[in-house]
Amino acid sequence: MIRTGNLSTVDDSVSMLRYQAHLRATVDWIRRSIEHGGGGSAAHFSYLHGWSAPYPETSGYIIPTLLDAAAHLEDDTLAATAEKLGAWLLGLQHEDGWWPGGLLGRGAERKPSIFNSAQIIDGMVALARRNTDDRWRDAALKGALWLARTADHQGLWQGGNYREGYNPSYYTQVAWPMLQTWDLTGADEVRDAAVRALKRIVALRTPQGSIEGWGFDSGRAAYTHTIAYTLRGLIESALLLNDWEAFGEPCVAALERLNRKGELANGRLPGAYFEDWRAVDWYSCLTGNAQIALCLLRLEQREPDLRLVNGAAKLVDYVCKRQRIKGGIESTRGAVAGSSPPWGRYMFMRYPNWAAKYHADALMLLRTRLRSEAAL
Amino acid sequence: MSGIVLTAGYDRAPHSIAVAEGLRRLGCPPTLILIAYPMTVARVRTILRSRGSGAILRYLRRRADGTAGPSPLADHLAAADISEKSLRAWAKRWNVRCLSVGDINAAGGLRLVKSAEPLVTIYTGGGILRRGFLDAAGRRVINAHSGPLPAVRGMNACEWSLLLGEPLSVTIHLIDEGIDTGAIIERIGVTAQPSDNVSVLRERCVVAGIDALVRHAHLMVQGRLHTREEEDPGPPQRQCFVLAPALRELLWRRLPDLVARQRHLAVKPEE
Repeated sequence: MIRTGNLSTVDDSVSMLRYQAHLRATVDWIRRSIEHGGGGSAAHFSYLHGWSAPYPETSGYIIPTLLDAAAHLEDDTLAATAEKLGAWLLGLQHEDGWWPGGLLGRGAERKPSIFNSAQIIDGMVALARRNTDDRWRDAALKGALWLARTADHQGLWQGGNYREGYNPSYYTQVAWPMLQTWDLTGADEVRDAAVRALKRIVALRTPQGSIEGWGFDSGRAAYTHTIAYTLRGLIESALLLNDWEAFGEPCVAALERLNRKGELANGRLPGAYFEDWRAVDWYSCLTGNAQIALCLLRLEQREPDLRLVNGAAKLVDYVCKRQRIKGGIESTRGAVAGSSPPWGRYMFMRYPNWAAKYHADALMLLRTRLRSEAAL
Repeated sequence: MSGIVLTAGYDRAPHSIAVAEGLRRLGCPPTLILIAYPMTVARVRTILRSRGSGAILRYLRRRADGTAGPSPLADHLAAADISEKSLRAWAKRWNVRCLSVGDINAAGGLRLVKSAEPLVTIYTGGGILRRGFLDAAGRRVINAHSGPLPAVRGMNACEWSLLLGEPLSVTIHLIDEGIDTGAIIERIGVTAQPSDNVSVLRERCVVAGIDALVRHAHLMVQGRLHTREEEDPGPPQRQCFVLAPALRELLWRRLPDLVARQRHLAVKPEE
């Protein structure tokens, strides 16, 4: 007799049930962030300040998470919530196409933001792909055209940056939503501008595989959060453009290094890295952990290798172990802290909605991959 | 240069005892045994992760019940009439120098190895060997890796061979500074039986490795080392690490299929 343990279906396995429970709790927390967000999703919760003001940027990219979760959890109310977020964001779009940066606190000045607009476009495209309502498509195109027309011939934006005059390399994550819009609408002007930005950023790759300027500030250590933005933007852009050699291959060395580091530390990545890969190791950036897991899983979809899935599973497990999904107060149940320990440098003592978003995304992609492997 | 050094991870390592005894029976017993000392918290944690806490609990439960299940390694030891349970006891009986060291790469151990001037060092455990150790051993350190190299290098090689659809096998190779990247000496196919579980498969690899290590050490003592350097193994493949719990469960679930698939992959034992 062949011994296979007492598992009946793949979804009954201990890990899959655990992932399911974490996904449910995470998505429930995201929903709570929306209940406290006055139309959008509150950027974060902290014990000191409670729920923050809504954050248009992350409310935008939470939309595809909610749509995917609706299918994973068989919960249509999540799709309806995603549409409500989308409607709220439509109301914030400037007639020129941009969306405002920063949190939407009372009386906050609304200024155009390159990065934040792109993340909201990500949400608009997700809604447009789900139904035939033209308003999502139109909003995405309007936003993407604004991005395309404000970029110069080198793929640089002169205004609307988080740090004035600084175009970080994680703007690959601006190119990706632009390319999604091109894929949806066929607007070549948007594609061309995105490719210019990507080419400029790929040229910043160092011999060690890092990419100059992939942090919030030039010359300082970059959180794994923005490193992962950079890498994910490259991967997704390469896939959309069907040009792996130009835009995907340049990020593989960095991903291999991060995978190896995560494996050796049982899923714990340092919180930040300098461009020469010196690590800032006294805390871990949980958002980055989940995002790197996503990058590994996306790379693995192109180049099937369970060793990458293994690395991703450990990164996800590490975040799961630091997430409370039962007990405690409601505002942190299912939340993911910015850092581990929570007093780490990234989002000190706060539970950001984007950490929950990426954790949910990673859980869903990992579950899908494990299911497909079990079905072979 | 005169003899053979044997490294081991712990005193009661049955495969290490089997290698020592195999060499003795061929007339070339090890001249020095180094046991790298063992039970640090980090090491216990690594073992738990590597085997999975569930597998260890099941093993302990079966032992307590007296239903330990099939064990190719125990069968091998019984067939070879090897009853010694301790390397130290074995060494004392055959008058072989046997020492315990805290860290196999520490200066004290290196001095011992260097002064032994080994013709060959057989690695059967003790942690990752650093450059200093390899230099002290004259870079003639052989290992039995429980997977096909270069395809499956790193930890949990037997499990990864199954998951990656690579033939179950043992690779005898020279150790260098990389992880399982040294010159290949021989690949030996390991046949899986439909009733095998992961522990049994792992032990089948260990048994194949014991025989091959003894054979090659004997050849090296006779001045006959043959690596397969003429064969280009290609670039090293992505390293394997300890299985995450989800992947371990996946392996369990798919084990019958994966073992069946091995029939089409099996490496034929070499001449």
